Amino acid sequence: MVFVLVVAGMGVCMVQLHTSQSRRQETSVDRKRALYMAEAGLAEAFLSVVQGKTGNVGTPELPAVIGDGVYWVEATRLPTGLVSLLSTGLCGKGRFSITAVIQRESDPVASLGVYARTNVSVGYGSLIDGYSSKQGKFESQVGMNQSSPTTGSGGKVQSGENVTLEGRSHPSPATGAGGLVAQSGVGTTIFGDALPGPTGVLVMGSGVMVTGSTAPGESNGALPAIETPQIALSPAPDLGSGLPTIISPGAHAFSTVELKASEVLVLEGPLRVVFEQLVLNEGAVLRADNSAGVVTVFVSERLQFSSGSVVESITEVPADLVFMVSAHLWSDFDGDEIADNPVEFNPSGKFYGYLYAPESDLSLTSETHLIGGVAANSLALASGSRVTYDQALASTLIASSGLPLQVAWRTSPVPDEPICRSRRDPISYLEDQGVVPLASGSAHEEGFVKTIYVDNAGLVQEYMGPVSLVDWSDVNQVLSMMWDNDPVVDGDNGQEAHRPLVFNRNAAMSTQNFGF
Amino acid sequence: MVEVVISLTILGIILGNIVMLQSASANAYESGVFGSTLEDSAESTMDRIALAVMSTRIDSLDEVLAAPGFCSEIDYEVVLDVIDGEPVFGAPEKIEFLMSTGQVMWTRDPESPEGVEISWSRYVSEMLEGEVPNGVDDNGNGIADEQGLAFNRDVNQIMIRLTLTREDSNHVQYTKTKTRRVTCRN
Repeated sequence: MVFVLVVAGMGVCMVQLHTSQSRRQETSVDRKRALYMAEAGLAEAFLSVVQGKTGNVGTPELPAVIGDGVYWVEATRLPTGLVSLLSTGLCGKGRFSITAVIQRESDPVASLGVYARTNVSVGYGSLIDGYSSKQGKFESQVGMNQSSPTTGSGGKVQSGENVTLEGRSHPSPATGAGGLVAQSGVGTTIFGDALPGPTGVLVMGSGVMVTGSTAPGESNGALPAIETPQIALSPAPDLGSGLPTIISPGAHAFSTVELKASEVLVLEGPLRVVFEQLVLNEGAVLRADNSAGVVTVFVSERLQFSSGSVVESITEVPADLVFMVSAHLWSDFDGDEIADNPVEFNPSGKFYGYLYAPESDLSLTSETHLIGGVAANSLALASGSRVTYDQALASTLIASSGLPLQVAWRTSPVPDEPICRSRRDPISYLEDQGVVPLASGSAHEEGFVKTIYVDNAGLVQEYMGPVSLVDWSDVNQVLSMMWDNDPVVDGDNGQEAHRPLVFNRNAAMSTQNFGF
Repeated sequence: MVEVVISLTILGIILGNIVMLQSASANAYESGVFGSTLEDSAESTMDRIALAVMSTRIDSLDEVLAAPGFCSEIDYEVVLDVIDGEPVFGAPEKIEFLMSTGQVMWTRDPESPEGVEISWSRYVSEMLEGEVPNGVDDNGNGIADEQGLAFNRDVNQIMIRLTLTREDSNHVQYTKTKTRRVTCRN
């Protein structure tokens, strides 16, 4: 009897010991699982933001379920386009919360200013400054006390490698675009930053003035490739009628279009137009009527804007006229058995727009006052060049995928919610409450969107309403999108319309139906 | 008389079995507790280290080299908040292996006299399990002579290796090794 009692007692003690050890290990495992549950919530909320929704996924009272755990995400809009996502994951006895802050809209390329993936050289007597098209026209921001019409600030020259600023070497005056006359002996002037690459150098000649930072930038030089839209070719426009030739809004593609002197080609926005070769001879005029929407021009083989040609923009807002130039292969375009440069950009006067040529070695002359931005493989500004960077381009989506950018990640205290205080398995807890958790794909809080798009018939359409009700199958090209948390999408929270570079219909349709 | 002797003998055998059973149980208990406690300690220490590495930036861990290099301490900062679109980092923190005491020590503000020190684990082995100080990679993990706590970089991830070892009253040694690959989230 005594023997049996002793053995029984020892058995009970050992069972208790192992039970408590198992509980500790189980809690530790559950806590790790809860961490990854919270991370899954963050991924789901990120997708929600990409789709234009608020970022809220589920609630503490009605969370989303994944596997044998649940989660919910609370999204908070912060200033400057940031969104804070607090994700709480529950699994077994584990509870974990993490917070990620994401930048909803960011364009890492257009924000680089006057940029080259490799080297930038700026000829003597050049002047680079900046302004913001959000604050009005360039002329309204020019300082009156400058020696030449300039804002005196806001410029940005950057490269992935070296930046060379040629100094004072020719004392004679040089005539620049728009009637500007560089003063005798004036060296190169950058009213703003001149930033070489992380391992590059900045070479400054004598008399060069840089008013901003000259510290190496953080850019690694990568420029995303251009995805030219696949649009069926249309017959070449009739240019010989003596009247301006108009390309209507929508999506069009042409093989070779060459404008001779006094010929005018009008591009009416919203418009995406693809040219294999686009040639403007001296005296030709390319006019972008972007008053109703953005004009985006893709050039795949040859872009030649000769000296004396003119490129006009009705709105004079750089983000409203975008040139996406993927041409980069030298070829004998004119039949003289000499290979020709595929990209020559020398229009006269002011050019309001953004020029993106990631594979080209681009040269700009003093004929052009480029107002907006430019990115190329390498960039050479001739003597007396004039460039003005539009700071408003940083908040566009000209050359980015449009994906949000994570700014910070940190652990957070678990919210004081009843389901968190209960140490029970969350799914059992919800079952007792009579609550059926939502599938992840169904747990996103609805957002509202206003979009202007080109449908499959080539017509420009407009939609405003819930994101989930957009019929992506009828959308051929998205021209602009604006999101909001309420049904009236009017930018009352300071949000702006964005123009995605490439519309991937399959991705849009798949993400709309994304879920477990 | 004979009956008494037989009774005493049987009683002695029973009592002896009880004592043997008790002794064996005690040994089993100690062994179980040791192994289990060491496992818990290794797991919880690794969890804390991994969470710290997750919360920092990969480019702030320059001292962590790719294999065959390694280090046994890291200095880092974790994100506290985001202000004006820029992450705000907290006070510097440090995780290091103190070979003299066999501890993994976490310190906040190591340069400050008001810094906080917490021991995350004792019983850390001098060398990682399977490794002896001979200049050769004995345990086949690509690193030679790594200590009981070792960090090394694998592309953009951090490998963390930890070995705890402890001896019980019967001089039986228990060893638990944990390895984890972590991605810095910032």
